[in-house]
Amino acid sequence: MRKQLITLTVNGDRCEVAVTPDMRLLDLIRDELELKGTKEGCGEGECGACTVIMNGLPVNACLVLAPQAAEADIVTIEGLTTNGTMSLLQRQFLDNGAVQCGFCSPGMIMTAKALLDDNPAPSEDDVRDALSGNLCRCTGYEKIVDAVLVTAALVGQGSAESVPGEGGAA
Amino acid sequence: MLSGTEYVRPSTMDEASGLLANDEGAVVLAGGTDVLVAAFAGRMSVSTLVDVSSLPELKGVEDWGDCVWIGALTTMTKLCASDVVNRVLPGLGSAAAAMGCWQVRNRATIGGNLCNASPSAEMGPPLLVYEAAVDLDGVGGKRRLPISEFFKGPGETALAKGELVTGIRIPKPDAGLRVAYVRRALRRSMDIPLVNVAVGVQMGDGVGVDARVALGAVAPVPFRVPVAEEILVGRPLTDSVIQEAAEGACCPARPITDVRATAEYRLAMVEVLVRRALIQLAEESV
Repeated sequence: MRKQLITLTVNGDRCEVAVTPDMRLLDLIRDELELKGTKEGCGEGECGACTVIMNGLPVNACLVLAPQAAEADIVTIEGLTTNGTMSLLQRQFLDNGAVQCGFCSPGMIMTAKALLDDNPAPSEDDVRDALSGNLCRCTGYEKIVDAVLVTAALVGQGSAESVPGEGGAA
Repeated sequence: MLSGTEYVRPSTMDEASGLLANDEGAVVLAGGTDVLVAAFAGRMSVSTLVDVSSLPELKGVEDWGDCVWIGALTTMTKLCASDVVNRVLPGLGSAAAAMGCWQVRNRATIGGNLCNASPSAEMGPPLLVYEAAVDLDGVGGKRRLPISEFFKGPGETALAKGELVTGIRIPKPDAGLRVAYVRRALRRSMDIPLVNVAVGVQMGDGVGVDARVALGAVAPVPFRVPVAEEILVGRPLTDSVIQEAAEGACCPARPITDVRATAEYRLAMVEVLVRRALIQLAEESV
């Protein structure tokens, strides 16, 4: 099996990685770059646990081959923190009780970030639609939807600056 | 699994069709939402994945005046966001918006949805109602097929060895043609339809002058239902005509029983969904 070198940007850093055709973007992120925040749930695109943002849009990293990610711009959950400080969106997941076991949280937060980047003032329906590809077995979703709506409201009120460590929408 | 599989991303059509023609186990890779799942689960043996995402001939959504051309690589998300699709082909946009979930719609392509040839393909009924044609290119040259001749059975298409879908060509319908897409699934998201239906009706002087009814997931391929269409032409869109057409639509349906639903339930849903689509169109045209 041929190895090929690809270049891509992950959380703002240019990386060069040797990939094989059977390697998924998920394997590249977790095993080659050792970014373990992105989780593997079902491995077949049903659960959303491995969601990362690829060229501005959320995708399931288990359904992208690593060679397909050549020249892509990827953001993972690790990319949301600044100098170890959580983003407003992450903070709201904690403060609203949207995290229980935590396994779905990275994927859920990445989809929510992509939504808020695209639509800073989503309705509850918008949030539920956007998150419908992310499964959570613990929370019943209510708190997750709350966390996203509260984040949007805080950013809308311009309160983001008053939250420690937060400079933007997510 | 994909151990032993090669990956290539050709930059020209000739290279792509040559790879597909000369390698028995070569498989086209676009969005990967069907192919990679099947390959990783061992349901598909693949010698070479031919990633077509760099072929310019497969890209774009274009307004060509008398028709709309949709490149095979157009994702569901791009279809939903396309001005010309939303303006001229809203039934296709609705179907694209209903597929999978956001993550899947960001990768899944219209060409892939057709080539996967699921009986419940989201794009099947609306493309039948819009009377689309499929542009093919390969080692044998270019050709064009009506969408009704493209699907051959579950997972089977009219594609020849070494041939690719380059795009979908949809004649612009008369501005009076209203199209509704409705589906029944067990869950709102990430579930394929038990039954999906697209209906198009154009009214003139209070009676139907054009009627198109297409069903998916109730036969080996999606198909048009002339018996229901004939009921709608020349008559007003009243409750009794709607009911007659909805019942008529069930005649040619031959659904199967599977993990999602029984054949009897699917058949009952054909009537319900065709009725709902027609009621929606009747309310819109008031």
